[in-house]
Amino acid sequence: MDMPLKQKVFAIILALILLVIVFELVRRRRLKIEYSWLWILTGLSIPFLVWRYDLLLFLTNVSGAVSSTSTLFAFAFFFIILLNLHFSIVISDMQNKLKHLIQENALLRQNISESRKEV
Amino acid sequence: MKRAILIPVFNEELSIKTVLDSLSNLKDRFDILVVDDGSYDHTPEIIGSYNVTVLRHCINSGYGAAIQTGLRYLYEKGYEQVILFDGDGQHPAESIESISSEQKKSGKDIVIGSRFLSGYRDTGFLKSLALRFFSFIILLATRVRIKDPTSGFKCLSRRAMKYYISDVIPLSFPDADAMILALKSGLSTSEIPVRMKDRISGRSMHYGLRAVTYMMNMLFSLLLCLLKSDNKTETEE
Repeated sequence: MDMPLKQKVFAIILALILLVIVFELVRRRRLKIEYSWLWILTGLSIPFLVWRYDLLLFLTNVSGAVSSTSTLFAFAFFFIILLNLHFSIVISDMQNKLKHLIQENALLRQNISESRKEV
Repeated sequence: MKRAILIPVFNEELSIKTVLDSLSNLKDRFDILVVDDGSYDHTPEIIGSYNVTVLRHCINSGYGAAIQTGLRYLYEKGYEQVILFDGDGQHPAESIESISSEQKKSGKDIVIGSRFLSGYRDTGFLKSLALRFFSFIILLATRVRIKDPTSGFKCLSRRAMKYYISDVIPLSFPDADAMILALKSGLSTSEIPVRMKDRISGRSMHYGLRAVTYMMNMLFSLLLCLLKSDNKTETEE
């Protein structure tokens, strides 16, 4: 069983649009390379599933899903959860770095103030 | 012996004057350091009018981060003992000398001012249950009984200061979880009875929904602390 041609074209166009946007954002330095790989993976996984539609059908069969569409939605949902987890990690890291900056700022200001008093 | 009183404050304009006034007769024995955690009320002006050292966070970063900033400063300046003292007026200035002497005499790294050793019973049912639970977890993890695990009135030795400025402790809510890690790191602790006062103004950090999220975060943090293996090298000078 193969995917209808219309669906194939539509899926590939969507994937290309996503990949072009991601590459353009990285090129313009609005998205860092380390945060772009999950999006690139999404963009590449769509043509992969178009190419290996049998794999999607196999996954549908294994997961007990009714149709290949629901398998795709399930994967998309899982992927969004992964993305959110990734962002939570990034935010936690940023928060930690921000705390260090705030502390350094407070200590440096006090050092400057003490140095001025000594002068 | 270089000693200091560390007061973290955030929007304490209604209480900080009373607190600083209550410490005026201790100034010859203790240096006073106020860490302003990004207050946007009149707190900065009030503390600026006192002859105390002030560190200011440009952005509010939380109680734990404010304590850590103050301790980093005092540790670098070579202080040997520090009293953690709240800016809301709950901690009694008259107990500072006794908690300091107890730390010096006993040589314990963390001496806690406990309201329950002095017969304090005016705690709500849920809070009392949570405190008992925290005490039990600490006892389970470290075999040390602490009656008032969430008391912010503490006297720290230089070794304990070093522990608090390392990034080992969970800074968002440094209570029972921090105590477990401290004891597992080889620090020693004891409690002395302290009669706490009523808060002059404002409300607890843990109110309403915050109390629920605090409990959930604390439970998760405690679980991580229980799973962490003992590490006695982190506090070596």
